[in-house]
Amino acid sequence: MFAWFSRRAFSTTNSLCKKQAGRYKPSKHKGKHLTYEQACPPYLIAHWKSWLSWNTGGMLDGVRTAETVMDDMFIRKFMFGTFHRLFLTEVIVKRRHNMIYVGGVIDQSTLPRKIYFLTGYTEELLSYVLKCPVKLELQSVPHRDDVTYRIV
Amino acid sequence: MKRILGLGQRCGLPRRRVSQLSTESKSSTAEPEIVIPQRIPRGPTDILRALASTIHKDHTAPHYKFIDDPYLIPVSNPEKRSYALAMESGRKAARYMLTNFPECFKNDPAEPKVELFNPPRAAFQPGAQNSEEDLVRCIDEINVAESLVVYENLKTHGIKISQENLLKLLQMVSFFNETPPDEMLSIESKHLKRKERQPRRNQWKVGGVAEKIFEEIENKDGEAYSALIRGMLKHGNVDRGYKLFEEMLTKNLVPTRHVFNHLIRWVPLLKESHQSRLAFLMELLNRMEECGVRPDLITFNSALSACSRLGHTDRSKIVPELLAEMRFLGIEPSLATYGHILETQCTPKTGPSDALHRVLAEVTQRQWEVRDPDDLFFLVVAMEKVVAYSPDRDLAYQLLDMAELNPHLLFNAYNESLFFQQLFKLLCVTEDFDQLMLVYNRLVPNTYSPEASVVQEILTCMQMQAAHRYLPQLWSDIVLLYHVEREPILKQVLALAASVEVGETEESQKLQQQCAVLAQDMQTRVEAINEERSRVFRMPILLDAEMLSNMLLTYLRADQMAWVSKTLEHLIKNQHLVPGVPSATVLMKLAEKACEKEDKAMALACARYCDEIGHETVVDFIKEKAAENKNFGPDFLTRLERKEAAEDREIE
Repeated sequence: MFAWFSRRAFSTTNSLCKKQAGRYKPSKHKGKHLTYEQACPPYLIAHWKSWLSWNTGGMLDGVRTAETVMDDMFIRKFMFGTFHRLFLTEVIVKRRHNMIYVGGVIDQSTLPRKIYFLTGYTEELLSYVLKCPVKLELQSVPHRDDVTYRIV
Repeated sequence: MKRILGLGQRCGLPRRRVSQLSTESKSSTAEPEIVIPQRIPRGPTDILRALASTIHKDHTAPHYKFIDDPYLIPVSNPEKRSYALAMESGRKAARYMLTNFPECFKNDPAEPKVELFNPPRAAFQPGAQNSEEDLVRCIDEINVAESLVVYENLKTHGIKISQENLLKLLQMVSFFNETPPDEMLSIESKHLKRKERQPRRNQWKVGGVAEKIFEEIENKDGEAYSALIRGMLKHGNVDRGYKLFEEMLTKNLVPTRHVFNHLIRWVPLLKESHQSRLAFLMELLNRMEECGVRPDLITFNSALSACSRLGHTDRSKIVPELLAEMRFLGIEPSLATYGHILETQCTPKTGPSDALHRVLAEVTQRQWEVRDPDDLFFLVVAMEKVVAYSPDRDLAYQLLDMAELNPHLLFNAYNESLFFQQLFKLLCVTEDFDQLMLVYNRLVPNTYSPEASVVQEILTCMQMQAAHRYLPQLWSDIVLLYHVEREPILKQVLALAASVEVGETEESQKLQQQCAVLAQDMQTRVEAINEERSRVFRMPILLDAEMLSNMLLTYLRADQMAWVSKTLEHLIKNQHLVPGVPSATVLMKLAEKACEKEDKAMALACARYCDEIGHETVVDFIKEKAAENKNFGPDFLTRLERKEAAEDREIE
């Protein structure tokens, strides 16, 4: 009787609700490297990990909500395209006052000089496109595996 | 009461709390009267200022223009330069894209529009139809090249330009001497460019556009004349400028203050002898008064700078007069004024004077604004004077504090390095090495990267004060600063490593080992560099015999026999790459060690090499030891007799 009842119930627990977004399926040969951010499922946001976009668009009476999302998407695409194969983590976009700070962890496989070139290029171009000062805050690690938190 | 007190002491309670426990009231004898302080009126930003005063420069962090990440922080001067310029060229690349492909960047949601974030407007082309507004716009943008294009366009289409705008154009064109100020765009290139104190002579474009515009002005008033003369004087065409100035005076026109300022600055060039210079200077100043032009700070600074080219007696008479006049007019002196005072008071002729101490005592404790372009040279001038006439480390520290208080005064890379170079050279001579290293650790590498000459100076100081304990640290800095390819530095480092005191204490043993590691590091680095150089047919780094024997000594002391034999092999095999021969004492030590360790191969090689270069004593010593020691065997001596190593190998 109880089993029948529980099966028919409206269940909202994580174990029963088959959510897939932001979760990574274990691979067959256990060769998938996840960063800390990827290893934490979305319900841990604000507990174990933090947001990738920081802005006031989601607040009550927040302005430019949709535009901000589109701008962030554009910034991410631009960063992954410009710093080609260099970004090891997701790009974090923070809006403070009238400025946009773009952060992330990159690989040290390129000469520092080239990274400086790309930084100058990105800051200038994104400033023109988004009509506000954009600043890059990059961090680097010697090897790709240094950002691996869990292998699934 | 007593019981409670005793309890309090046993429990370790503070006395105050115990007294609170007691019921007995305190005797109120000589209660200090509470004085309520007067209210101090505060401004709206006073709290911010108080907070800001708690923040100081963080010497462990790189400059703001660099990315704050260990991999991306530059250490050496070439790195700092190339990273800053790389970022700048990235910005230029983005500008190029924006200028050439404006159709890709049409999205402009900003409201209101921000002019600076719009793509650059299309350039005005020669031959196009332009209006006078375009010209005004170009002038407002300080765009010299395009304003000239628009000016030509207007002329070809026969459009008349108003006299007012023509004057504006003349002022701009003659100020910049027709060449666009390209460095205004790029802060980095400007920072890295060397700025000349005196403008170069004869740069003015004679018969250029500026003069044509001047001809075109119908009503040539004082302003028009002044604009042209100012340009000529600014760009070093002094004679023409002065001729025009005289022409202007005959027409009873009043020159502006800037014209006088420039002319006063050029007095030493316009007149030859000291007497005529002084007379001319006085004449100009009097003329200023006649014309009713009020002098300003720049006038006095220019006059003081001209005074440094006067005779000593004239100078000592006129400088106080000028300063008194300045005070009378209520003009506050700027740093350039003090700089010129130093230049006139501290000269090879006057020798050390107390002017330096007095000026620095007045100047160093406060923050300064730049009011004259020459203010920016004050720190370097003062440091030069301190080094030359009063090498006193306290004065140098005062100047360093001033530089930290006013970071904008070291405005470009050249000035910065000149200032710190002088500072370190002075400290190397006057300061205790531990104190010197405190300053060094604070400033290097984020604020200053020492040049090779400064590193050499520090190494000499280390040798003088026997401060070998800092050698490993300094070597790692030398590597980071890219000074490994400089032979004089390598030589000094090896001499220091070899002269480490031999002691039984743990510290000295550790230092010996560190020095050996340092020598190994140097050897591997030099080998790698030489391999790279041979690939591109460049001269290799030559380690001469003295350096190699110092290296041998370091290895011997740290008991690194593998590296000893490696170095000895290099000495024997690559004699064409080793200038000179090592001294007998070092080879004797090597022989002693080889015999002590009963290393037959090394003893043999050493004996043969010594025989070859003529150190007979070492050969005799080895023979003697070999005869004494049975382990060497009888064939060792016979093998020693054979000169050729090839034969030796055949027998083996």
